This record gives sequence, structure tokens and C-alpha cells, in this order.
Amino acid sequence: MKLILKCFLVLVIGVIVGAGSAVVGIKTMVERSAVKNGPWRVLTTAGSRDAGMYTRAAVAVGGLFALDKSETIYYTAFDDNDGQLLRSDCEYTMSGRDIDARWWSFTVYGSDHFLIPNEHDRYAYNANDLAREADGSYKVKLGGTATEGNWIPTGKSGNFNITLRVYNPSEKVYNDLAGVELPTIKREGCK
Amino acid sequence: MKKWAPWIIATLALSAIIHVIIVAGLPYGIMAVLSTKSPGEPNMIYHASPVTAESRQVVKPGPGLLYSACPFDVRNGALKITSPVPPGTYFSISAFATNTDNFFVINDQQVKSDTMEIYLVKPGTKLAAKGEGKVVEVPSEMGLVLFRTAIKNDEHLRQLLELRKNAKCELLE
Repeated sequence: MKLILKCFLVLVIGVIVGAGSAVVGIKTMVERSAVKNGPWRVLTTAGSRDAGMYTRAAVAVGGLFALDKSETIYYTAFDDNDGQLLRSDCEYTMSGRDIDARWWSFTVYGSDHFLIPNEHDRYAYNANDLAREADGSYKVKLGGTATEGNWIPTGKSGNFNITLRVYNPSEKVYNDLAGVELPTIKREGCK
Repeated sequence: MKKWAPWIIATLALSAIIHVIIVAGLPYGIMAVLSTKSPGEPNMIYHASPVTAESRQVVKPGPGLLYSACPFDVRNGALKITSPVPPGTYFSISAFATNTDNFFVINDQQVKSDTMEIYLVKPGTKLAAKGEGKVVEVPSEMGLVLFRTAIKNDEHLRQLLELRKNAKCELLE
């Protein structure tokens, strides 16, 4: 009886520790290997044949069918410029300029990595459909309060994240992922 | 302590095995689940509806993009992919292995003609493509081909929906 109990304990603890360490391992390795640019993170080997098993696992969970970075660079922001997690009950202003690439877009996703349902069917903007300032720059409001101009609803509760897709990046962007100018994300206030 | 040592070692060893199985197996598992949920038959093109919040088959769908896909299985022959190239917008055809690696991608600016032609083949297959056609050896016999087109506006979307009806995937046995 004691032997069966011990075997059972080994099995249960082994599975819990193995699964738990896998989740922590994926998050940690991704965080360590990501190139950082302000609040944005990019996995340089996402979609690539050079990706390690942790990157592949992270891509499978949060960015399946990512293209190789020579074709597309995927920046993701989970935080604002002050390092605070992006919250659906807060209002943000994202400000930036055109990125040196053929086409780019940013999309807001819920913590489940799917679009956040909203009555306005508004989830993203791209280089072609943004309202611009006179100098060509843009501002996008993110949050629950409907505003004139560029605005993306972020749901009612929980956290959200933003993916910036950069298609056919210029050599300058490709070679300077950490230094290229990307939009800033400023928290304006919370409920 | 000595009495417990074998049990602790067994627990650690099992944890390590489970850890590796989960991390290494996750991409294959997710691809396998996706292929069972796929509305398209292997080696046939499937045109996805424009992305909305209801699009919950694959994580992080891009609302500014129109997607089509061919789940491929080249065990019994090569897969021929042909598609018109939409003018004046970003368009690409990419292929993914069962471990999620993007082993091939080509975009509209890399071809001169208004049609793309790609053949996915098993390694060692002798096949000659005509003109700008490309023959690509797959790292895994199964996987997925994805078509992406950037949408400019609603009128453009209507044109793209018509144009993509001419795209196809067919198995050459």
C-alpha cells in the first residue's frame, strides 16, 4: 500500500512540477530572449527555422503562423511606457509616426490573444486607415471611452496587449529592432 | 534521507521528462488540434471570412488582412499552389511545418507575373516548374499554406473576395 502511495505521489508531483516549470520556462526564456524597444518586445526567431523549442512553444500559444522576420516583424506590448500592465479599465494614448516598412498595422488583443468583441467592430489600424495629425504623426486612444478620431475599445476588464505588425521592413528597421522609433503608450487614467 | 533519495530522483526525472514533452510537443499538439478543427480538406484551398471578433480558430488574427489556407499533405504527391497576385497591395503565400516553422514565404514584390505558382514536394522529388514557378522541399510532409492579402478598404475587400476565387491548391499524384 505504501509503495502504491509513493508511486502515486511521484506521478502527481512530477506532472505538476513538470507542467509548472514548462509554463514558467517558456515565459522566462521568451522574456530573456526578446529584443526590447520601450514597451515593445520582439522575438527575433519567431517563425524561423532557428527558433529554439521555447520560442516555438511561445509562438504556438501566442502567435501561430508568424512569418520569418525577413518578411514580417511582430512587436508586442503588454505594458505601457511606464512598465505597467495594459488594463482594460484604463485609458491610453498611443502616439507615433510611420514605420519604415512597406505596410504596418497594430491590433489590440485580449489576454486570450483573440480580438476583443465590441459594437464598433474596431480592433486595429494600419498605415492606410489612420487619421493623421498635420505633421503626419498619429494618436490613437485605447480604452473604454468612445472618442472622436482614432480609437480602439479595449473591453471592460482584464488586461490587453497590442501587436504591431511590420511587413517588409526596411533594412534600417530589420537591423535595429531595439532602436527604431516605435509608438509610445501613455496611460491617461484609470476607473 | 537515503530512503527518500530514489523517490526524489524519480520525481525530478519525471518532472524533467514532462517539462520537455510539454515544451517540445506544444507546437505539434496545437498544429494537430488545428488540423482536426480545420474546415478545409487537406490539399484544398479554404477561404476564411474577413476577420472579426468571431474569428477564434487561430490566435491573433489580423483584421487588416484577408486569409486563405491550404492544409497540406504531400505523402502521396506534390502540392501545386496557384494564385492570382492582387495588384497594388501586400500579398504573400507562406508555408508552415508541423513544428510551426515558417519554411517558405514569397510576396507579390518577388514575382513579375500576375500569378504565383508554387510546388510543395517531399525532399528528393524531381519536379521542374515552368517560368517563375517555385519548387519547395518541405521539412515535414504535412503542414499549412497561408495566403495573406492586405485590405485597403471595403471596396478593395469586395475585389479581393472575387479575385481569390481563382486561387487553388491541387495534389499532383
